[in-house]
Amino acid sequence: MGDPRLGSRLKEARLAAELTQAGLADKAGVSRKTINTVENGVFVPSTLLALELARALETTVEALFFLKD
Amino acid sequence: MQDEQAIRLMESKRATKWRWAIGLAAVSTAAVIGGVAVGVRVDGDLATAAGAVTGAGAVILVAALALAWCTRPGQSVEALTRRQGTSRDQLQKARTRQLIIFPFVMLAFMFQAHLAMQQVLAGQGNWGRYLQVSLPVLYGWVVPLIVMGWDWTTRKHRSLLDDELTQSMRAQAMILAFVVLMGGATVALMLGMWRPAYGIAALPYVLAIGGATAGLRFAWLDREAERGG
Repeated sequence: MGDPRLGSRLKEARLAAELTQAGLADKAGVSRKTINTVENGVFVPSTLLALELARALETTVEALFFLKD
Repeated sequence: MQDEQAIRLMESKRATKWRWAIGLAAVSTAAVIGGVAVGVRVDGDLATAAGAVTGAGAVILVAALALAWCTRPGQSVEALTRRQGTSRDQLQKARTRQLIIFPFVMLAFMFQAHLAMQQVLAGQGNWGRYLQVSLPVLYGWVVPLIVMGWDWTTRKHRSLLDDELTQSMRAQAMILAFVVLMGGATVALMLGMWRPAYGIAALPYVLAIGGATAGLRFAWLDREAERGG
């Protein structure tokens, strides 16, 4: 499910927005487990989910995810 | 205030479930004891029926004890409220519980099916024995149907139960189940070439184990995602 090439700043962005995993999950319309696995790099979200997360955190997908060199 | 009401409601529901579980455990214990007591005294169809009652009683007893443990009194309210997530999380947890319990129910039915299969292969098949052989196979079908999201609950709450992570876990679970099923079918074929009766006897096991693999793998992935991802 995971991919070592994908880097994530989701946790930092979520904490900056003062949201819990459950809170973000609620805003993005996914389960808390989904947020947990994306934050831990176990699950690579689809483009749609990445856009949903970015919208829920009022930021951009690029600010949340990046490619590791 | 609303929180207190909600907690009281949860406690009340939990107490009701616990009482039901204890009652069910008492009835199923009586069924097991009664089934064994009758089974050792009689022969033929009556013995088969007694065996079926004992097996069903044992399965229900295990389920009732599991429910009684989960709803036992004395748990802290904090633990009770911590378990309450969004309805999406609650529904997904319920599905995972189902996928853990069903393979164990199947295992209990498998024991009965093994005995019935011996009778069927000996040419002493009847409707009761056919049913006993079919039960683990039926559960072998039900578990992958739940994993695939083709059950009633998932169809009713598709937006909550069929998210992206679920689809990913589903794919992994079904791939493993398919490999197990292929392996099991190969073994059954080889057994069948050696002793045809063994090949047929192996098939309920293959179907049940294939189905159980899908459920248990899905539940395992779900628990992993729940813990630390």
